Amino acid sequence: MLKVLRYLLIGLLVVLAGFPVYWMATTALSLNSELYGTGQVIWPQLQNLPELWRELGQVPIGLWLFNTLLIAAGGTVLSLTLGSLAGYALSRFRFHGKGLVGFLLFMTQVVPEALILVPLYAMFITFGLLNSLIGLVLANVGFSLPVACFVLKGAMDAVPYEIEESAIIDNCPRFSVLTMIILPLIMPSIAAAAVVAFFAGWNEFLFASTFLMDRGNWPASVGLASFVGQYETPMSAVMGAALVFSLPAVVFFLLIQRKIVAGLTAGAVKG
Amino acid sequence: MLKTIHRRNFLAATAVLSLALAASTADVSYAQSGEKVTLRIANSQWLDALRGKNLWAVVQKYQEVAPNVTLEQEAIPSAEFADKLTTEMGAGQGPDIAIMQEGVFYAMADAGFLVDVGKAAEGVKLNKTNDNGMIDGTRYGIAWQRAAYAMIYNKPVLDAAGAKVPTTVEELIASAKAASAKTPGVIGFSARHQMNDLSGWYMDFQSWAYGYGVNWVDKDGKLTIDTPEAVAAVAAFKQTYDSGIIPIGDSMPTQRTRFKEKHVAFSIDNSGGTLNIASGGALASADIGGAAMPFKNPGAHQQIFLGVSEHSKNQDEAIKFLAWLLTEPAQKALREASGPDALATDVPVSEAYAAANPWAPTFVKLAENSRSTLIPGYEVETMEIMRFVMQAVEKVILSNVDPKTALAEAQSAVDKQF
Amino acid sequence: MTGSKIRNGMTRLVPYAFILPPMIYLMVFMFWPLARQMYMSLTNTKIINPNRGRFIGLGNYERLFDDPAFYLSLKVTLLYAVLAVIFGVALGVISALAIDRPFKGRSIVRAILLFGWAVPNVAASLIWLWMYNDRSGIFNRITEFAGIGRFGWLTSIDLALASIVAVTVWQVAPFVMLVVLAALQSVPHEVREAARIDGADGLSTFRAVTLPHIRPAVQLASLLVCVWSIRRFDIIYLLTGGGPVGTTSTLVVKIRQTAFEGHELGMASAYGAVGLVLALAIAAVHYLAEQRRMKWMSR
Repeated sequence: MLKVLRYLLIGLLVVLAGFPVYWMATTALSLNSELYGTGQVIWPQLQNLPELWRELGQVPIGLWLFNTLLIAAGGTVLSLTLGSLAGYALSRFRFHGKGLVGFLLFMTQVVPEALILVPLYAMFITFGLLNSLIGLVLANVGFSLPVACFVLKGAMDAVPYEIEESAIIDNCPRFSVLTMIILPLIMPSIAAAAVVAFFAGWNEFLFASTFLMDRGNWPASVGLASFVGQYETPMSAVMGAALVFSLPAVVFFLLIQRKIVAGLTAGAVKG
Repeated sequence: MLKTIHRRNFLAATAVLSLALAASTADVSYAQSGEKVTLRIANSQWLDALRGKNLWAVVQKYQEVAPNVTLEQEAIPSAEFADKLTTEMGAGQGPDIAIMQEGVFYAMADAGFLVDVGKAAEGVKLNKTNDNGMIDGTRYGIAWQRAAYAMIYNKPVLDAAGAKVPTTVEELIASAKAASAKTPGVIGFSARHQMNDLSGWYMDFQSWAYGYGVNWVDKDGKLTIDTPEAVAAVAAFKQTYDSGIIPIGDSMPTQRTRFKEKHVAFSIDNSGGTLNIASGGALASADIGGAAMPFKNPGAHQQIFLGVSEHSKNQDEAIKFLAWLLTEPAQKALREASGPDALATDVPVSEAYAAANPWAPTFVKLAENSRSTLIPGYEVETMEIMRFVMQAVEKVILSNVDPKTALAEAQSAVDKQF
Repeated sequence: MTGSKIRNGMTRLVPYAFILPPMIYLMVFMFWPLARQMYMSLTNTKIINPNRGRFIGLGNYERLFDDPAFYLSLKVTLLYAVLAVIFGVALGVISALAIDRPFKGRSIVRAILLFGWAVPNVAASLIWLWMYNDRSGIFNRITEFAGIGRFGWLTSIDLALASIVAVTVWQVAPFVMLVVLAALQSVPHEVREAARIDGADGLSTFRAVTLPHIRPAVQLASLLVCVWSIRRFDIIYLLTGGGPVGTTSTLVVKIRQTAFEGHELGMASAYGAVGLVLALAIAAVHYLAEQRRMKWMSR
């Protein structure tokens, strides 16, 4: 009995979580005349696939996705690098200002992007970073670095000191201790932090739409938003593009989801 | 320790290198020296399917007469155009030439971001659509297009219902309801009605306001929000909203798409929006009818100006482009891509066009008496002022505040701030 | 002797070697702009000329505290955050508990449950806008079919905030689920088995064994969801733009409106300052509670 209830619950959750995506697919495969008039068909009409393909071909979605990938990947690498440094420092050392550092790192999570938009914009002009993907990466990392730091710190906290102790006594430089001993042990958490950073970069809209001027530099978030034109919303094409935009992130997620679950273990419990 | 030092150096070098790379790529869009020049033109219309392509093709013709110039698009979605341009210009960046709605144009001029383009207009017979481009005796903008507002309708749907073309708001509601009743799935009337759509809504609403004889300033230059005419206009809008003929919650782009798919009976739209509706949808252009709006007085128009940026490194070249745009061949080409919009010089709509698009002549006629959406004397602040007005309208249509009370509140809010 | 003294001296600097690169980075790209922006709240800067503002002291704040729209946005922000946390965490915990034990097809189920978090904001807002659409949206088709009529999900004063919360919960629950799942899977199975063998039923097992194990995870997730809600912009702005009649205008939405539509950077920064203080207050409360719990636990 309990089992049946449990399966029912799972079924309900799956519907709640998955329906919007299902609907994206269905809408993408519908014709405008159905969407705006006679009533949307609730099954995906695969016969409209060629039409959808044609509509999508009219926008540089491949280029947009490539830009998004660069931004997300760049941000992930930088966040993990700086985050592991900070995480290790907070986990293993006591030093003056440690409390302040922890506080500052947390504070970044409450800063709305809109608030630093304009000063950042002015700064990027001075550095010549405007209209460049690198600038976007730098702006995004400010927000994902602290998250990476906390996740990794939590994981490092769970690693017993004895493991590095002998290496340290042997005069192994702390940096090597970090890279060669600690990091390999917390791979799952690194994966988790990577996912968070990757998604933040993949998703990002405000900075991208403000700092980039060339259409060739647009990531998919900005490209998708531009679709909602002044004069019409070609809903099926929009949904098709939205799906294409969402899919890679979902796939990436699926590939490392086991690691993520294990990875957040160390972090959350000690959290 | 040694390893740490090496790694740090490497990191530092990479950082410097990438910053340098980024800086160098950012410079490329500016002219290096002498001959080859690149002009960046910002416009939200570049993003419109079909229309954007046609307009850009017209603009690109300039490259034939001036081969040393390369034209580049800066495409900004219309919802973000004002924000984006403001941020860019405020930071000393931005395009060389901007194609902007009147309100944005005024804001840019007021902030000192536009240069005198009087030279471009020398010897050209400019019509009155260029009047507002002259501020305090200096010409900062050339007219690009003027899109008047009119009422449009789906002819077959109307004929099927035997409904007549309305001349008052009550008749509009009646005809719209008749049309919906006769053809199921047809929406009666499409109009903006949400604060989400503010930048478009306040302009659309000016047609209602002006239609009821509203003046937002009196002859002494004081802002008059709470006037009997305004109350009448808001009440009329509320009546329309309450009648259920408007598709609540749809943005205007969605409503326009519905119109294209033959699912809307009436709308009040400008000629630009109508041109888009008439192109490439299920509804044929010949089936769209145009008429005067169901108000007593003339309505509004949207005016778009071209301006040259103060920050541009190629101001002279940009002004030359503007001058070329005002020549007869360019204006003729622009006419073909602009439907019945009024241009900077008088270029009549061809008879063939008028025949194929029966709604076009209506817009041309209404453009003769239409008024600017901006408030005289408060051009730069118009959107802020109208924000209070539209908030009042929103209150009236969503809760049961009566128009007079809401407008009185708006008046005191406006008085406090201005 | 000397060698070890030098080494000792250097060792003291090592933590700084680690913490400095990230902190310098944050100083440049986060805190310096933030400080500049906060200073701007004391000026009357307009966005069109960010360098020409005049210092006006607390003028913006005076106007702010006088404005009913401000108090409305404060209320909306708090309400939004609280609802998002309650429902988001609840759904996340339930999801985690539901799929904790292995079953056939669990990977697929888990993948689907993650959709909300994986789908980017812009795409999510577009589909939810379409589903909430008054005339063509699926939700109204369902309610009409069920005979309860149509609703203005995003346009009615009573429903708009709830609709936004629903989207937020959809996006946030997967994250909570992951965090709680991770904690759940660290509960040694032997412990759970032991409790069950001892005759404890499901609910008691849950309360005595599972709950304490996941409490820190739930707390962390709650705090993050709360704080992110105060910060969330994209979804709200894209769905309702802060309307209708300001019922979904959180502080961040007000910042955007004041800065870019009202063109007043100084005032927008004042809004931002309040938002910042609010979030920090919440974080401080959590932090202090944590400290007290740690102290109590290590007695």
